Amino acid sequence: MIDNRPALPLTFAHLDHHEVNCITCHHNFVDTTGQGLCIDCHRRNPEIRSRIEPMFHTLCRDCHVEKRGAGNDAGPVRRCADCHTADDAP
Amino acid sequence: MGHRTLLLALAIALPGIGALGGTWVGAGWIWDAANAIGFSAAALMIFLHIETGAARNRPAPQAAFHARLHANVAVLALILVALHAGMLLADDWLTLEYWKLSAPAYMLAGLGGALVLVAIVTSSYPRPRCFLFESAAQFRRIHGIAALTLSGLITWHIAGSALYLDTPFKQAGGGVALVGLPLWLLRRPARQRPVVDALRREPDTAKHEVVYIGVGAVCLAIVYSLARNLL
Repeated sequence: MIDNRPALPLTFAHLDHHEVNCITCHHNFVDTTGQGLCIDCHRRNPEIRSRIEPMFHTLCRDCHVEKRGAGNDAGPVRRCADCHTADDAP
Repeated sequence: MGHRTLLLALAIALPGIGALGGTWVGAGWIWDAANAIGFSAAALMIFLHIETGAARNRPAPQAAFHARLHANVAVLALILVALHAGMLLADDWLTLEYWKLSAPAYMLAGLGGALVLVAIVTSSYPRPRCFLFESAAQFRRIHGIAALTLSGLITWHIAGSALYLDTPFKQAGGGVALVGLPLWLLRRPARQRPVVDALRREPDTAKHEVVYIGVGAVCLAIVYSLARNLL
């Protein structure tokens, strides 16, 4: 009930993050933690599966908060539906 | 100190901790207003630790006013908690995910706190109170422990979300206000605890006061949301 909940859909536009270093998110290309989709490891590895939410919220949301706090344009800060909406953006 | 002054001070001070450094960012008009309603409910919890409804050697009508004020403010706090959750759910239905067991611990603390508050309020009415507790002393002891537990859960809930209390300093400030102050008050002899005064002391006016407090909480929520999203 806790570990096997379905992942919420996610909208993410790479075009909006072109200023961010790729390995900020795609860390596996430099730290040899594996290849494949992010979610493959973050959901299936029992060591990190339980921390998936704080991991991604810290990575994405906290950066948005920091940027908006500095007066810059940023992505969603808190509303769940602002990120967790399915889309086909590249 | 008058009860209105105390309430206003608490209602401003608690969310005001969020302005002490860190990041000041709007999360959305409804989101921030809903959370401000939650802050008001938390401020009412602190008020209830100070204004305990005890007779304090007051004449009977005054003692009845303070007892009713304590009870009515507790019910108002429950209403504000329901409004807090309801507004968030209405604005963003995905917050329903935070009502499940898979929610983060700080959200489970919030849900647990709401349940504890329901238990405190419902068990305080005369008939359930007489049924559940053997004596007035037992009721006061368990009621006090439950209230402190509730304060701890609220602190965990607010600090854990790390949006308004986003630095260790602010989280510590919230902890001092929500848990430290009630603990300090609890350890003082009854005669040394602060006295909350009221200009009008007729028992029937207690429910009118609560209406004013509720309206004040909503107004403060609007102001807070404006401040977070415009400044």
